[in-house]
Amino acid sequence: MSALEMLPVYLSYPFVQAALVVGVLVALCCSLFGMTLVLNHQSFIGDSLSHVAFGAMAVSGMLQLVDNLVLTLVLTVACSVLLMRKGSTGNAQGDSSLAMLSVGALAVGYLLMNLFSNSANVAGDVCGVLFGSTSILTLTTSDVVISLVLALVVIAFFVISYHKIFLITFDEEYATAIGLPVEPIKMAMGIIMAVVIVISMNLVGALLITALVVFPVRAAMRLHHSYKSVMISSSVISVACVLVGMLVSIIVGTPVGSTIIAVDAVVYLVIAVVSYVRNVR
Amino acid sequence: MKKLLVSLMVLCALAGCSGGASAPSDSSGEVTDADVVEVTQEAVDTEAEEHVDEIDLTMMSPTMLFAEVVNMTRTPKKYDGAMVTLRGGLMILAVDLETGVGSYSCYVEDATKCCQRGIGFTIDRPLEDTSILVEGSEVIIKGTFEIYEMGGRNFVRIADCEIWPA
Repeated sequence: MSALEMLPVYLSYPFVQAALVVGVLVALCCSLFGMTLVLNHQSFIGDSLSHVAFGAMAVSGMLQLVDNLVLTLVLTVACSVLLMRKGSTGNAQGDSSLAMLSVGALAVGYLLMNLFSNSANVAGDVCGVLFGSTSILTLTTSDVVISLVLALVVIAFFVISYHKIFLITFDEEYATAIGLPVEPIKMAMGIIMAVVIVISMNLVGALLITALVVFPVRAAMRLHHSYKSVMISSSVISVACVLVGMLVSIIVGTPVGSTIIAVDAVVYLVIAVVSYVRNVR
Repeated sequence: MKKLLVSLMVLCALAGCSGGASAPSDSSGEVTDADVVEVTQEAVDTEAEEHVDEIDLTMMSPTMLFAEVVNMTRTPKKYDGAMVTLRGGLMILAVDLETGVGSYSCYVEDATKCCQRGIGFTIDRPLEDTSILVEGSEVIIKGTFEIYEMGGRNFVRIADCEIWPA
């Protein structure tokens, strides 16, 4: 039986079906919030938070927690709130705070995993968390449920607060002037951003999350110029790339996370070239 | 701000700590010299919605193979009694080298080859040719997936296997 002929067999497995559903919802969340991050020049906040999440997972492993997702979520949300309060863009102090947090969390996390690991294969654990090689296909039932609930909460938040987020993204001063609760909304967006980062780790790993957030949005911005069109396009591109990436990795036998990002990169390049040719003409 | 931090700490506390034996982690290589794969009592007690009678894992890509082996240890009831065919690396545990009868482990790797997952198997009948039993070589095994208890703990293995070089 050829690799392609095995696809219907693979799709019959419950863990593959769960992985595809979670993957699609995570892709949607990343594209929705990627818009805000890219437009606010905050792309690397996601990177920093993913490193914090890695450190938090190491702490969970050290404490032998039943479910490491809870502590990871709590610590990542706490750091996101602190970063949002400190104001992490547009000044040198904020930039260096991000750098310190990012590499510090990564280093401490790796150290803890080496010192306190109860696993026989630390390198494998680290590799799996950082690059998401098969994590999305080995989710426990509770992981799936938590990921689904959190993804739906994120999407609901974005749908409900769409106009407020739009205003705050493009003109924060005007939003403040008309009486919008800008700071609470920004804090909520920071929390939601941390949630998106944590649920994305199972899909692409801690090191590749930024690509999942940025590539679809930047590709969509090459095609469209209105906020709504970019949002819809980036969602379609993100979901399509995740689906294609996952299916290719399952059929061919490549790491899931990096395959998804490779597909994202190829799609971005193709769109960039098409856009360039279109503009030249 | 203080209230938020206290609330977050309370949530941490509710995450709880595991007491006894924990389920194997997704990417830990549970392959040690005296080891077969342990499964939790919860996994053993969980009834599967469907039962698999036979599964050929040699047809799968490395990504799916690794994930399926992990999931077999999560839902062992689904595969209990199933005929399993598996390709992987050979580890020799406790064996009569003249007959080949004894306990082994077959490990599979994911696509990055940094995550390994082993599953114990036994050869119960003397082999005609024991020269194929080379540590680290790739083999194909076919046997019956079973859950068994030892020392009050539950393990899974593939029992009464036939073995071929891959």
